[in-house]
Amino acid sequence: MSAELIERYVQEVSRRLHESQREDVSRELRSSIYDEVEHRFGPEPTDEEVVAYLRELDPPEQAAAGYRPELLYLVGPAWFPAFRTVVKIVLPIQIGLILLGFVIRTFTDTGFGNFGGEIFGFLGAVVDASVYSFGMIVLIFFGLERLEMRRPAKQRRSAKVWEPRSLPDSRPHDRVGYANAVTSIVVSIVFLALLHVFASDVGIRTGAEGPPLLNDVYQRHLPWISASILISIAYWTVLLIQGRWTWITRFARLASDGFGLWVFYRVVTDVVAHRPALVGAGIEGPVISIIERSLWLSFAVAVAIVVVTNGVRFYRALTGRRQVADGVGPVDGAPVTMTGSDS
Amino acid sequence: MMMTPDEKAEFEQKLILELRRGLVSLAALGALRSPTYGYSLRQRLVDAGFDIDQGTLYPLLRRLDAQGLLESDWNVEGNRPRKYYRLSPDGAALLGRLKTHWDEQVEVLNRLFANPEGDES
Repeated sequence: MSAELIERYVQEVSRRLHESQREDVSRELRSSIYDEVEHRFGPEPTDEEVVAYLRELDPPEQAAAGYRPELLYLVGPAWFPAFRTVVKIVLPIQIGLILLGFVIRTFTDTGFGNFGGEIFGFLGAVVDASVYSFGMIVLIFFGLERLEMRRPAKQRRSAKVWEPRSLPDSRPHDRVGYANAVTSIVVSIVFLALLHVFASDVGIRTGAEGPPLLNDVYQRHLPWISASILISIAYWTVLLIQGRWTWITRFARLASDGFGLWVFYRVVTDVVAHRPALVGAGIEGPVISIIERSLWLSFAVAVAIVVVTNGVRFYRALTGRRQVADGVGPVDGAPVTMTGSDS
Repeated sequence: MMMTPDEKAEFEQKLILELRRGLVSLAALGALRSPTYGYSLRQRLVDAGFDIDQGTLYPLLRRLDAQGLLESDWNVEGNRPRKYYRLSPDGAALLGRLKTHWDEQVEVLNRLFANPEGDES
């Protein structure tokens, strides 16, 4: 148990480090902890002694931050990995969506003639949206950073006496990825904001005056889409606080995904029901078929993703438990022994 | 705006930390007379009266190593792998210059403390 606690600590520090230094730092950190524990408590320390020693160390996030260079920053070392992940996810998706809109427009826009102008328009939209999203992501993380820094030093998370036993379980199938949870929350917030900020632009533009085609469908479903995203944000927040998967959160995830699929299905069927409106707006039958097929294909892909990810999650939970029950669980073994100091 | 006692204590702590932060590198370089691994170096510093936690020392050693002031090797003999650090030629030269600078500063401060009014009297 005491060796596992040390492993959990080392693991929590190392997973916050850059890959290039992860192995070296964790090796040295592990070695030094074992040295110190053995020096203080002898070759066979009790769990209580190890816990007492670990409490003296910096909490994992603070210990990991010490290995990164100090800079003046908007987004500090503790938040930067999550920030970078969010940017890497949001910007490509956004550019992809704009590109998709551009492609659809080339099929549907009856007034599409000035190709050079359209390209510049597309590039302008990419730059605009990227700057907007990037700024928003920076703002969110800056807020998180400042909230932490504005608190009196004694009340900061890093300054509190922390509890080593609360470290996430080192069994990989139970552990919630910290960066993954933060990334999901931030991406959801950004996505939700974008859906509302650009609500009047969603739909198919045909060159005619007024709101884009199908914008009314989008507006009608926007509350449900928002509810689905808010449920997801709440869900990830709970996971972030708990730090580990439980059967309740696994089933909650399934329910949350199911609700999202239900909303998606309603949107798709509503769009399909509006075929006459598209025909009336002068969009050709083959183009409408492409749009409908694309939506159904997207829905099928979403269903497949939900089935596979949830299936894998439940499978890992079941097989992981069986392994632990058999005494061969995937607990990372301590690669160094507590005994045999040669210091 | 007056500071509360807690804020005063926190401010004082911050000043002490800043003072120590400037000395940590010098102390670590100065204590690396022979190849030493992190835990042993920390013990050496603590025994000499320079209390330093491992969350400060280990990242510092890595930074000094990355800057070429230290050289390091893993020793995997024995039951536990250990990373040994030693001064590089650049590190030894820098240590010499820092010690000279430190001695000068100590002299200046001692002069100031002994005669805060200067030579005006």
